[in-house]
Amino acid sequence: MSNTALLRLNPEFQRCLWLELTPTRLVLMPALLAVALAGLHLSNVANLAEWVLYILFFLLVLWGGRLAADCFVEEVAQGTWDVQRLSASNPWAMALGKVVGGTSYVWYGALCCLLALIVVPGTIDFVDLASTLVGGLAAQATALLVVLVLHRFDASRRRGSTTLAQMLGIVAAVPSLGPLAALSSLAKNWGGITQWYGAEFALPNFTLGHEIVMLAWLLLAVAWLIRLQLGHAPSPWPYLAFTVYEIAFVLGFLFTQKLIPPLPVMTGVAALVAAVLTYGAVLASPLHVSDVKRLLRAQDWGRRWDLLPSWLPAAALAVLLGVITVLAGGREWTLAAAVLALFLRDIALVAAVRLLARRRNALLLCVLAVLLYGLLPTVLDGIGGSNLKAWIFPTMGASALTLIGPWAQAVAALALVVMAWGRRKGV
Amino acid sequence: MLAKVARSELYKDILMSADFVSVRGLIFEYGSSRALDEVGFDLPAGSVTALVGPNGAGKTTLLRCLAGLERPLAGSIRIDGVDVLEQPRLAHAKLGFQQDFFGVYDQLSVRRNLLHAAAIQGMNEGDMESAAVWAAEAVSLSDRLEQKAGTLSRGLRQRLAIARSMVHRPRLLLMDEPASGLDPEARRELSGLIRTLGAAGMTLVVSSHILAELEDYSTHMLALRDGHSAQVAVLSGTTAAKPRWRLGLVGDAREALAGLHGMAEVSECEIIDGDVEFAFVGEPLARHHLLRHLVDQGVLVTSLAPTGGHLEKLYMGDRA
Repeated sequence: MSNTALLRLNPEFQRCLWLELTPTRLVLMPALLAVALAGLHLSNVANLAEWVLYILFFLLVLWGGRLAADCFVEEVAQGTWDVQRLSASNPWAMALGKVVGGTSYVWYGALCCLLALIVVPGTIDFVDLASTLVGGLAAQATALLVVLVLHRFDASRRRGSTTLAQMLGIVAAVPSLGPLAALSSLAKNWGGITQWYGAEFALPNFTLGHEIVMLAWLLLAVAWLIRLQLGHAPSPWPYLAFTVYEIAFVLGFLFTQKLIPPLPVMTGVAALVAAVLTYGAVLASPLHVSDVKRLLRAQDWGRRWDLLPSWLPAAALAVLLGVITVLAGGREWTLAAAVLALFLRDIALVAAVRLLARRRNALLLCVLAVLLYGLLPTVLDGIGGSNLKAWIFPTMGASALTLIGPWAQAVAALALVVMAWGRRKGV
Repeated sequence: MLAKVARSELYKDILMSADFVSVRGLIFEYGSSRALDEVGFDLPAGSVTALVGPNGAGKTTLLRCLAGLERPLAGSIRIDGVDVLEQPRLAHAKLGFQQDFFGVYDQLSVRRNLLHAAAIQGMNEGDMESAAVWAAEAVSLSDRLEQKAGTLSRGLRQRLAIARSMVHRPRLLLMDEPASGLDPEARRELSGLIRTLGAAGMTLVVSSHILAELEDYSTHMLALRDGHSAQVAVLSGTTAAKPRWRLGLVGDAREALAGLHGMAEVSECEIIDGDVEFAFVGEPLARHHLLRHLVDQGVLVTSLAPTGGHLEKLYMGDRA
């Protein structure tokens, strides 16, 4: 394929190849790998293939994550990102171009490693190899996703987000994606088998399958954020779809061979997953006054839906599932009402902090979380036991009267949001 | 700068519509402060519009909104019939935006910078190379095609940024302070390029503080005041106000004034510092007839020249 053909197909990928794969670097990578493997061989390492896998992990996850984040951060720093935003390109092409093109040098190194695996002594498990390759791509996509999310908070931010993105990329790839998959991956060494919707899967294969699906979600998230950068209106569909997928994924673990869990258990777990994802989206979304005003000014429902923040439908879904759980007799209604109050309080507090605090609002939110979820409940529990704690925290078996506490907090937090909005909304 | 373009080649399918760029009720806010307030205007196809206004008037914000880089709070923007807010990528293919920073890839050569710019705007594979060469030639960078952008001087990087913005031959070219950083010779060449692109049928909106330069090539003026209003004035063409001319004289200016009063094309005559100023279309043959008439009347004419500052007067008059 000629340069211009690839340029037409994916301009971002070709641009990255031009920058990353210079003749000097093309020579340097295999030379360095050869020196490293020769050194290991001379050190009488028995299973050299396993070391190649470690090198792959270093290249794709540690270095690749940084390159993927840099690919975007450098563009913002050099002022070329606004030029890219004028592009008529497809956001998917740009997302793939950035994830794979920006990291093309480490993928070139990975290709050298794969070729080395043919000749070096020792063996490795195919699933381990595939998991490292997919995990590497996931780490890179995560790193890019993180810098894109941070850019939404502060478009003038030039640098400083790469390390955070790299770290979260590593988390995404060690050894898989998500706590459940990570646990299952750890358990593979115990020869474990997992059941999902009643079917049995070998844990390594299950983990790899989940990694691949999560990678697709990560790429969708990157493409969606790039789409937003290209001037399209946001839409909550992708995050709502991801929430439904995660609910379905987690519910699968409740099914054993012949046992179908009761409805309140399923809806309760689903509500919990939706609530956790709501918290994730609320914390990862900036709150710009103009976005809220745009939503309030929208003329029709289609437009309003497009402008909704992504966490709102997920939150509504969590509440709906919670209500169904209570109606189906899963939990006492007082506990559910207290949880709902704190759910509203937390969302309102995040909104108020975003509106009022111009800087360090992440630190402020951490302090509030420690105070409201750690310090205060513990102190009240110590003083008066669960009866006193119930006045500020959802507690099993608490009387209906104690609901005043959580709902007073929710009302106060909402009042704070109204006050903050009045201060920041301007004309 | 040589821009070998012709209307028939590039913009043969453009209808000369009066509302090629159409903006309605545009509101934009930075945080709680309003940068654009109910701005609305139409610009015809093929026009070269000088976007003027004091610092902080919202010129750059307006250009960024037109380019789809900023999402306004309310209002609509249509470019060649495409709603920029609904179909931003389709609009991007129709427009180019030279921003007030370079926005070039330092590690890539001039050629690759231009090829990349052409590719992201969806040009055909076969047209990209010739488009890159054309754009480089238009900004006098043909001899530096293989040079890395990072090694170019500030002025040359500015030229490359201009070339990147127009490489896909957009129907609308937005330029934000295009002359900043250019030496006098390059500025003159830039004026020539803008005139050529305008003559070829491209619609241009140029923001600058240097009114004299804008006057060289602008057919329209769009004035912005604190983001509150937008006013379009026609500077050339049949609906434009007539340019003003100054007649240098030896002797009594009142005689010349009396001589001019009889001429149909002349209006708004006044004596200023012993010379006579008047509004006059000023076509070469008409100038010849005017001078001959005055000489026949015995008026001692020493010079006839445009007063210049037409745009500035219009702008300052608008301010007043």
